[in-house]
Amino acid sequence: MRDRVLIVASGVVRVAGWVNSLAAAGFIVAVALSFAFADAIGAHLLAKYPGHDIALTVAMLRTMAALGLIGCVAVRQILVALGAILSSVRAGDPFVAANAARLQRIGWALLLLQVLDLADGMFVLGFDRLGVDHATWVPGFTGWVAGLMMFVLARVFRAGAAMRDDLAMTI
Amino acid sequence: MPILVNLDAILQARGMTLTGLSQSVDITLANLSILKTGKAKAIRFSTLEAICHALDCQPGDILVFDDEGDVR
Repeated sequence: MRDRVLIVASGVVRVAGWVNSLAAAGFIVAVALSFAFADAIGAHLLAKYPGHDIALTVAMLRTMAALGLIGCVAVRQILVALGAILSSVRAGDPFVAANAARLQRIGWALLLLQVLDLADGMFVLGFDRLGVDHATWVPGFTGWVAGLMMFVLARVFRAGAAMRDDLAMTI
Repeated sequence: MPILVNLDAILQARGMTLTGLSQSVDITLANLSILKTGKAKAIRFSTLEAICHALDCQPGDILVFDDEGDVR
């Protein structure tokens, strides 16, 4: 089945997988370097934010990087499941129970990403209280709705797969 | 399932094989085998009509309700 949307989607999933792997490696390297260059980082932060709790700031940054790594694992789950769903569509047999399970896995991964996003917001609030420069954070509902939608779609797929199985045994 | 398929007995009574029936009703042998062994989940009216026509019988001759049948 040659479908441009499927070809583009497969390409995007593949590229996103590479970018995600790079991001995961970046988080690991960042945490490792934060320990290797702990003194230099501490001195730099102390010069920039005199009198601030530098140890806490560094610990929060490390925790954020660790949460980012968890986020990468969740994204990988989504991409792997999406890739498998795309393969089943290309094979012409997408209405199978396995795809329902994959959609549900995507739903859980999206929910995990939303929880991590909330945690990110907490850290931003923490940095704000510490008086440290930080990126802006705005709570979003799109991810929550997308997660919910995946669970609903998983149910639809499961029902569709059961109907298809019934039809296959209809003589 | 309490609905039993009596196709084997009707075929025997008519002296016809499943392969012969398959050719008469234009339904694959594999599908007729599924029907005969009671593995089918549903039967189309068109299939029933074709089988009844080929075997010169009534739907009730092929499908039997047995409350004591295996419940799946």
